[in-house]
Amino acid sequence: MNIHYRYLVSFLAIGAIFCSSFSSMAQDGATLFKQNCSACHKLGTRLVGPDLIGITEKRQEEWLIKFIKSSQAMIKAGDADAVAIYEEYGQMVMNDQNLSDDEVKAILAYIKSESPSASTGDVAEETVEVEIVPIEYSEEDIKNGLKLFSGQKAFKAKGPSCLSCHNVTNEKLISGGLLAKDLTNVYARMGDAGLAGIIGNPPFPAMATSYEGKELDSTEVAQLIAFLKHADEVSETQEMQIEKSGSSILLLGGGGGLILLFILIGLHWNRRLRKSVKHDIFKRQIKGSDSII
Amino acid sequence: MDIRSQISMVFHLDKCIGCHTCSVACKNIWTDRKGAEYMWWNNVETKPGTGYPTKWEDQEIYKGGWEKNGSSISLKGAGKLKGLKNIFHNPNMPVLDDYYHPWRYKYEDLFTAPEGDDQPIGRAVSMITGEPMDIKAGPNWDDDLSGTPDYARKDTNFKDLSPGEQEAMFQLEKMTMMYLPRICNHCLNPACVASCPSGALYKRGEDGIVLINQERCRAWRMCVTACPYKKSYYNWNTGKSEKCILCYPRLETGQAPACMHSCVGRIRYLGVMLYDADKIQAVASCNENELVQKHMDIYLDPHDPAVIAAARKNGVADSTITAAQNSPVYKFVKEWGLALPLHPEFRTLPNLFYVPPMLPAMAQVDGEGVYETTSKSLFPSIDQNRLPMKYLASLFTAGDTDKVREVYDKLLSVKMHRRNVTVGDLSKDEVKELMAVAKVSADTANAIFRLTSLATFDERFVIPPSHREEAIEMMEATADYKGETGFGFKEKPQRGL
Repeated sequence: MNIHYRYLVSFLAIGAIFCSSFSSMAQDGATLFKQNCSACHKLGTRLVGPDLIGITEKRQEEWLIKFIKSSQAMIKAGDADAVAIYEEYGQMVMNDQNLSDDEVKAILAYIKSESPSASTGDVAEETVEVEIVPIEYSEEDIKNGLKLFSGQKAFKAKGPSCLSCHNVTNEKLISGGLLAKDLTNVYARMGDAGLAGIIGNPPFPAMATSYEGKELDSTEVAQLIAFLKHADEVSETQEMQIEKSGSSILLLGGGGGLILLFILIGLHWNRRLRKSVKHDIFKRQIKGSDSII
Repeated sequence: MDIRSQISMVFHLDKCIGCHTCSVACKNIWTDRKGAEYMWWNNVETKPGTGYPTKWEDQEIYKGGWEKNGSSISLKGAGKLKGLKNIFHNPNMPVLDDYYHPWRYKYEDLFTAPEGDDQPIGRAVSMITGEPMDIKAGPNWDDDLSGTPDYARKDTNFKDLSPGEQEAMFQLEKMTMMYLPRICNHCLNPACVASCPSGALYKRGEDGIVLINQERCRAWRMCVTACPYKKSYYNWNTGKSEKCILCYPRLETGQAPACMHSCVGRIRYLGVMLYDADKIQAVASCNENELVQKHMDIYLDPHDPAVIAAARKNGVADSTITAAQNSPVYKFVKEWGLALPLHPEFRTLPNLFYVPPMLPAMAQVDGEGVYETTSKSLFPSIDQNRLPMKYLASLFTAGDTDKVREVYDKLLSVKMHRRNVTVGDLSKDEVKELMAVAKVSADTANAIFRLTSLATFDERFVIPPSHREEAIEMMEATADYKGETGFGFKEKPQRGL
């Protein structure tokens, strides 16, 4: 009884809060959008993910909630629209968002409030894709980026180095961690703005936790992007080299080295004591005896 | 000054009768186990002879001890790089035959053999394989100069002697030998400790006993190579190395080590020495001709107030300082300068000292082939000693014959003085002159005589209290320890308690 009563009270309380602060929901939505979505989405332009202006008009709310909570599940389940989006955006999946229905609704409310009121549903479709002009980075930036990525130089806020979880195939780097995605060609996939969003405000749970309170500053982000861009550009040529010679050199070197090692060991141990110091004594004894064994 | 205490020993070789009682006592207590059958932590060798393991003194074979390396020293056969190079196959170790293949006799066959035409015999069986075997050698087959062509003539210490001098030692009527009992020297600069890649060997802080931690030993056997006295042995059964532990469980309870306690000739003395650990490196790496003197100088006077204060500051117990003041070893080594270390050239600064033997020169064959038995005085001069000075110097002073002569001068003067005291048939002036040369006063001579021949058990072994209770207090509550000592299980029995 007691428990039921408590539930009832809390439901009533939540309901009351919900009703009274419906107008402030859009504002919560703004914060939530900034925290969870802004890394990949913008209102008005296409970033990593699609432009979300007018999305509430285009899709059912129910579908949106489902998609936001787990787009991957939907793709797996074979939802036609979800698969189409997945294909359109270079098979880049959206992360599952750990948000409650209410929070998603708040975000949607915010998007709705930002969208032009006289939406006809075509706004999103007709949004002109802004051609993002790639930023040019200096050699210095690339060098610093490499240092930051590999952990040679610590981040100012002492966040962990990228290499501990991510791999980038580059001749100047040792192979990195396998805990998270390979970032060799990430620049091609996401571009400057996408990377800046993700690095500056990680949407991935593990990454977000790792950098909580240790956020990277804008120079660091820029330097990392510079390095990732460079890594992407040179990745093709470098990979070829490794494929061609790496394994055979390793194999030949290893085999040859082993043989050389055996020869050295043989030469060195040639000096060992091979017989007892009493050898001569035994020999003399045996000469004059008829051994029973 | 970093004053530490060290349990040291003196073996008085004039008193050794070569009975091997010490070896048997040690064997019965410590090495009568599987894998340890071939070990003799204590052994008695005949000199000249090749010893046990055969030719152990020849470091060109076994690469033991330290060698001078510029202004410092390095291990001859082990150490960082050399050790790493040989870590999986150490080429300089003695093989089993260099010690001997241990055996027993199958006496039970004498009783259980079925009736037949032949008498049953107790055959020799290997204590390693259990199979019947041909005995080829034992640990002391050079005993009393037996097998001279094989053993005594191959003594490494002949290197400084001319072929003529060597030959003289083996002439009939001049043939001579001495006994050399050996145990671990518990060195101040132990090569075995320095060589261990696992850090299993250590020198106990409170009394300087060198031990092998059986739990940390990883059977690299670098200590077997590194110990120039070949007193670290590998137990093939446990896969760990073992060595003389100076009967520390006995010492901790105030008893003399088994070999010393059982010694028939009462040749062994044990006591504490205080030494300055800061000087070890300098002493160990000094020139060979200074080695013995500097080694002696590292031991400090336990009556000196400055030494006592520094020792106290370093945590040496008052009881240990008192023991050091009464130490017979201090008297023999420092006060009287009668005892010398064995093979100081190995630079391990051994803590076992030997009073060299006075061997009577009974006769000489003169130029005309006459067997000359007369001599001017009752005790012949040192030069007539049958063991050449050079030979003794090779054993005890790294070749410095003057040092050996100094000791013999003293020993002879004590002998002459006592003869005059008890019999009085020698020329007083001659004895006085001899004592003046040897720098021995009548009182000193009497004291030397007393400690050599009349010393009681407590005078020979001045064992400092170990204060184990303090060590236990550091680790656990004394009441708990008391309640748990003696009975109990290291591993609980499967059926439970």
